[in-house]
Amino acid sequence: MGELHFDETLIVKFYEKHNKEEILTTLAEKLYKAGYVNNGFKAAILKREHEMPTGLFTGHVNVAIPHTETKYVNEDSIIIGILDNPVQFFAMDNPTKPIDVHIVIMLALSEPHGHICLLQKVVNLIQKKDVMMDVIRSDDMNTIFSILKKHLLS
Amino acid sequence: MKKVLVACGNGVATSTVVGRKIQEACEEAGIAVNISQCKLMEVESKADNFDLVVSTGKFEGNIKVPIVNGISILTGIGSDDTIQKIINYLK
Repeated sequence: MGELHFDETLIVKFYEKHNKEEILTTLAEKLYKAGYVNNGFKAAILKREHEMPTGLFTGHVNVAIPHTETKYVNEDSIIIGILDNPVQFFAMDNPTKPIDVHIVIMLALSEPHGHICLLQKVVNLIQKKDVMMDVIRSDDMNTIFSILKKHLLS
Repeated sequence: MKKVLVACGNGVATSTVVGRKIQEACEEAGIAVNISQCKLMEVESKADNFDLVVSTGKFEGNIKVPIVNGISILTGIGSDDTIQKIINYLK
């Protein structure tokens, strides 16, 4: 299990209206350009989201946690999309239930059970309403990064 | 030793977190448990070897073993109730 990549360049704020495929494509392409995933990753992410959605209804800031099989990943990384206009995803436990998502946490993990700590931190983070609200309200990438870094990397 | 099968889409991410939380809750409740993970599509073929299945994805197959929706363990909404339900099945 190597180093986990996450920095300011892996936070993308979307201001225009997009659909979920556009969001996922943009995020996946960034990971590919950085060399963290291979060229099968993007299609696999889109396919997985369509077949087995990753939307989570938290009751405050809803999230999606797209991820796919480890074989598409070169180096462990996270990229986060913050959506000024919420985008419709579907619920992980009910693929017909639409969820308006504000934060997309795309995970690229190279080992099946690696990074349990990170995953637990992601789950703990998404349950913290105040922190999630701070993230979506901010327009400053440095501020957003320091909030996320504190909760995901420490 | 009770055996729990935790399932999620790829058998990679959310089942790991949910499995860990179940392990911790069982330890606190004094229940010896063995947690395995699998993909949603593997549940039907594997479930018979377990006492309970917990899934974060929607499972639509037929199994004889009880199945609990584990999504609340990720979202936090009603997670205490879900954990209690799981413990009640395993006691």
